[in-house]
Amino acid sequence: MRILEVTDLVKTFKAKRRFLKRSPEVICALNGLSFNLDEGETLGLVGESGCGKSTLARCLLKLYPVDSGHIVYRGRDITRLNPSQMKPLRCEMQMIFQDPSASLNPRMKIGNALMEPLVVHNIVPKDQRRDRVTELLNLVGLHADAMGKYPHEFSGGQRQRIGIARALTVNPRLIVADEAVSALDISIQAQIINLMTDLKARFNLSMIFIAHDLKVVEHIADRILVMYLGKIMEVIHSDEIKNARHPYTKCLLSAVPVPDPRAASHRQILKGEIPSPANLPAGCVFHTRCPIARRECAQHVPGLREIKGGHQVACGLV
Amino acid sequence: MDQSILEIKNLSTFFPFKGDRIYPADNVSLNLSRGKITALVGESGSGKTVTALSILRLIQRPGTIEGGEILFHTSDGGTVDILSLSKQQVTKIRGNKIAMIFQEPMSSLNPVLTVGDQMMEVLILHQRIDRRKAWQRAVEMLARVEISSPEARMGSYPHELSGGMCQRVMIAMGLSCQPDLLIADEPTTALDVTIQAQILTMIRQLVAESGLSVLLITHDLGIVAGYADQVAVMYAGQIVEAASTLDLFDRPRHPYTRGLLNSIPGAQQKSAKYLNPHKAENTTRADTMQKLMPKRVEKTFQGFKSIPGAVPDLSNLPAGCRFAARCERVVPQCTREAVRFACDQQHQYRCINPC
Repeated sequence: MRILEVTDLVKTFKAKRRFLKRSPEVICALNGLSFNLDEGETLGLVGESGCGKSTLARCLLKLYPVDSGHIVYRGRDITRLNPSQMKPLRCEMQMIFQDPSASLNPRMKIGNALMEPLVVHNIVPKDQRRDRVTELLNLVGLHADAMGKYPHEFSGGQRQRIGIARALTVNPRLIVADEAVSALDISIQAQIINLMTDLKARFNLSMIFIAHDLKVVEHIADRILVMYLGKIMEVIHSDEIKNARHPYTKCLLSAVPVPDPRAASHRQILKGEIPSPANLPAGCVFHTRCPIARRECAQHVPGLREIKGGHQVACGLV
Repeated sequence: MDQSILEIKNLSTFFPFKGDRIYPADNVSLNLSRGKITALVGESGSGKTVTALSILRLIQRPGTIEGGEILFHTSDGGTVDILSLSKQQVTKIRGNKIAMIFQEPMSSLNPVLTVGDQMMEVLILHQRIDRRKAWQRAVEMLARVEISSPEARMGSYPHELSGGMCQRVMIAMGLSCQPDLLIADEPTTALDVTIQAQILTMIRQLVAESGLSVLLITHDLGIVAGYADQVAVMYAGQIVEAASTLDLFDRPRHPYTRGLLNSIPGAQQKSAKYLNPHKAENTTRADTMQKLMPKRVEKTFQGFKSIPGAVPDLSNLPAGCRFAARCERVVPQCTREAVRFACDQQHQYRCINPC
């Protein structure tokens, strides 16, 4: 069953009006995205900074209003719901943030921070709340003592565990993890990824996992969605990633440092930098940096087309 | 044997902490070869940056360099011990013979001066040349780090440039006095992978062309594999393993290094041979995972071999080996006495029971 269906999602931001400039700059963060997520699936989202990954995450959870397009959650269109209509659905969709020290209130004890969602949504009777929090802490590998401590008393990895526990308090179905492991050291990162994979299987969660590290995503996700300047470049099964067709995906793959000193020689280095989303290139958004671009790429926009079973590419040349 | 450019011998740097002293760099000895890229790897808090800052005597009070030697072999054949120089003498070396670039290019450039002014300042100060020559030289340097239209960029302010461009400017500035050694402290950590590949490849080229030596500080073993000639691994203030890149990746001797290698996503298949002693544990884990997971997922997930626990607190270090509490090869002797360096030809490691 589909848990999420997204069609033609567009989100723009208006920059501040500049002195002597007629119209404010319009930054096009999401430029007509369509994809869907099955129940129990993990969808990985990769792309360079500024490609709209986080904007997409926030739009999906309706933390930002969208300009146009539709988000259908379990058969129900949630695009135009108001905050009070959204509230019961918030239990079902939760987010894990990148920086656990910034997303936890420094003046709130962990116990209270984890209990707050239970209070707000009133889903667990008052006398059972402490037990529920203890259970959650154990679930993420922390001791119940943690309840009486403040966020600064924990290391980065432990704080991220707390962030995960908080997302799980309300028994969600969908988790959006926005760069949840990017700020962690490599040995801790592996622990957290193992924990997330465990919990996901245990509670049959569906997950959108955002990261800029293709290797991490390849490991945790079933399907990978590659984004560039607010558009989908390629959707591919993670076991198939080696057969990626889009030139951008290939460049991303070859830019990832491989922990093997002998494998490092053939690198395709992407020239230049990501163009400003306030001034998108005409035609294919990637043509300005594409190693195989031709003249027609600057003229018409390639649509996302299916190559074989679930593998979609937005490039006319491959 | 390679000619070395910098020899760090028993460097100890401490910070006072609650009436006691903590040592982020504890008896660090490290050799940097001329014309090579030496990587210093470790997790955050392992003492990489403190070691680098100590080389340039940039440790701020109350931090103090307690002892040791940092022998710098200049290109004209002389040798100086940086730690015994006066302040003025160090200033002459800093930025001139040894340059440093930092992790956050945006915050290490002065936001109220143009790129050109900042670049020229270094040249005028160290090379004693006039403004016109400094301008020309700065433009040359910007062109060398592949910045497009360098003349126009000289008038830009840092906020007008992207992160990757700022880092290029930092590198250009660092290299403008033709230093013998460049210390790059996590130069690409804040940048995207695509930009990271551009910058590191460029550093690699500069090394090949000009015989520059580089100390590359990073936490990413992928970067080490791709760009470094030699590696030193740091853990809780100590160097635990040092070898050539090929040796270290082919045969990591210290269990911490091996653990780090196994923690890298995508490295599992390759380093599977190091996992053998724990194969049994892994299969049971995989079995339970299979029962729990729907079919589609089970195919892709292999599980990471992560290092349990976390880096020890520097103010409360265990006796003996600092990695013992997290180590899978621990023997009783490990926790009893401090572990010395063992040496196996060019491959050094601090372990009693190496892999």
